[in-house]
Amino acid sequence: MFRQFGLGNLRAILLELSKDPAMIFWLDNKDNKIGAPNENYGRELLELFSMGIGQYTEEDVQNCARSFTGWSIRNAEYMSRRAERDSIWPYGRLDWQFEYIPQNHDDGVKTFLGQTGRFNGEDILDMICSSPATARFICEKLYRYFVSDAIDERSVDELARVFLKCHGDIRQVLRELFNSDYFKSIHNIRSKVMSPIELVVQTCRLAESHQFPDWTIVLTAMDVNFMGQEILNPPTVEGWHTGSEWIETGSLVERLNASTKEISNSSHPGIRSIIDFVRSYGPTIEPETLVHSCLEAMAVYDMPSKTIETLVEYASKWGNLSFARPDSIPCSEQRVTELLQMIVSTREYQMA
Amino acid sequence: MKSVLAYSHTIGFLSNEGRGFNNPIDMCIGPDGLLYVLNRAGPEVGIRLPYKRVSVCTSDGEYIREFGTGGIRPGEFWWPSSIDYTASGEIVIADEALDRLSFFTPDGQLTHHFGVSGRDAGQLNRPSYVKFASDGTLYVSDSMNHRVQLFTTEGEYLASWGGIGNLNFPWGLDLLGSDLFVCDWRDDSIKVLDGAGDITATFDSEHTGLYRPSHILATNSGYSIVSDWGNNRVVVLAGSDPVQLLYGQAEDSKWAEDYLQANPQEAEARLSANLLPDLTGRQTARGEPSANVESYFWGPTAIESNDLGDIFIVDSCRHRLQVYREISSSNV
Repeated sequence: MFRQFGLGNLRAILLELSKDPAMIFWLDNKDNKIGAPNENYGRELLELFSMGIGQYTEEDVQNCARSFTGWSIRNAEYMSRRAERDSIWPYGRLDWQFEYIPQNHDDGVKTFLGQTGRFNGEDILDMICSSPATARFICEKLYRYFVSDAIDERSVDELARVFLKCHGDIRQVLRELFNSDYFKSIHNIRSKVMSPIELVVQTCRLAESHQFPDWTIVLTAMDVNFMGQEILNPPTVEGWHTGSEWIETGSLVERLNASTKEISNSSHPGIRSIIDFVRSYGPTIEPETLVHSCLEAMAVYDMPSKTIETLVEYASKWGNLSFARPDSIPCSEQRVTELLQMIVSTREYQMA
Repeated sequence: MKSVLAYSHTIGFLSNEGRGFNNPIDMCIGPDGLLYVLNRAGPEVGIRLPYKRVSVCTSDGEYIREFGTGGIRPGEFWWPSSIDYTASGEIVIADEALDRLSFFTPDGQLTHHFGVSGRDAGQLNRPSYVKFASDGTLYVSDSMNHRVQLFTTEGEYLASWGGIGNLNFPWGLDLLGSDLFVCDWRDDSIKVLDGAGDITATFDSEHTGLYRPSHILATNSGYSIVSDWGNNRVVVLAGSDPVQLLYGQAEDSKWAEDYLQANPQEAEARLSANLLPDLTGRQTARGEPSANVESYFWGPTAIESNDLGDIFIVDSCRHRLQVYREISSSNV
């Protein structure tokens, strides 16, 4: 759904979401009927997917739910039975389809966000998408994802104004964000903690360790899981808690172990390229040159001087590297990979 | 279009062990008439490794036994891709992760194996299909080397056909006389090679409509039956002309009926469900109908036939075989 609609209009995204059978089942909207409303989807639509908590009343939640009555799934009874038992029989998983059931819809008068009418779900989405609260909520999410874990209120307000002006066109909002001064600001470089997926993918790309489909990718996916992010399986409908919440004692150890393991294999093409780059500085490499050349090869141009000092101190323990004699090459190459392991263990490497 | 094949019945049921299949990828028919179905299963995590196995059953769907397990040790499977029967009564299984061909007795005892990873003559890189010929030659689709290689059953290298520029990730193979039919998967075509390995004919996608064909069964009646994997259908060709398109019409197998009998509430709800829904929007995109309509083919990977005229289509993502019969016996 996001691949097809993600860069379109927010209303289109929310409409597809509201009709997505997985969402309808997960948040009980198949049980949402006239005379027996189920508020689960209506509440989460407002709280988590559009406006944010505190921007609507309890009456708004109730009338939102009433508006989405009848938005159900085909073969609801059979699919519910299968889902309850996690039945994959007889022939595996079966996809499901949206079905609007008019006799289950509450066509009565409702009041929502101060407006009154015989609203259906699509009317609710129109009102949600033109609300400043929605603009603010969505833009804050985008800012947190692309710019920084710490919100700058003025920048988000600016983005929200663009959102309302272009009627929620996500592509235009992102264009504004990516061209902004705050996106390029030096203060926002490495200001957000990478998610486990981002960290693992970054390291794999650096090492060029998975250039073609092979079965070891399953093990890499499990590393992401151990760091607290099971791919395609967030813990709640709210999604994952991001930012500094990715870091706690257990997950940090997993992050460091996985990164150092990936970077330590000198047979990976990416690591070989880094070693060759270091060697291009000559047959004898001083510790400071070693550190700077590794950082340059990894495209890390903003490492704080204090961290660089620590890395140089570490690299200096065994003096200069020598590639002059064949018998010294393996040891020197190992020292390069050990330094790379130190770099991926820095605080800065965990940040985007 | 003609009616060449008609649906007969379904064999199968999703099962991780015992009676049933788990992503069957290929099958062969033994001299005893039994079906040997190779289960790909996955992913490759400890608890799921035993799901990779060979399931043995009759053509009427009576379960007999199973053998094999997942792993990398001799006799185990990682990415099992193809299975065939040799004249000496052994079962050969290709593994495209281990670049290995393994030979078993019919009850699953490993007798020997061979295979070295690489691109040199005689080496393998993702062997996706194996076909045993009556003259004792093993034809192997050496997919990532874009060639078909010929070996003896002891692993002696004989020849290499195709190569980069001639084949493009070949998959299924069949022999008719001295002609080798190759599903040239990435080229969306069928190539016919003669006894010297030269390409004598190409059935391209412009004529056939094929998209990522996985296997071909060349019949004596003049038709070829192709599992058109990328289109989730089976195409009957007369030469290069499609004469019948099959999208699958599986009904409940005996094993499925047993399951539903043991689960009456689910069975009752299933009876009142519409399992042939009208599809709209995103549901009509390539690959989606098969996920939405249970009776359709979903990832058909192989086709085999027995002496009784049954044609078995390995319906991989639905964990079953859909069985058809040829209703037109006249030659083209």
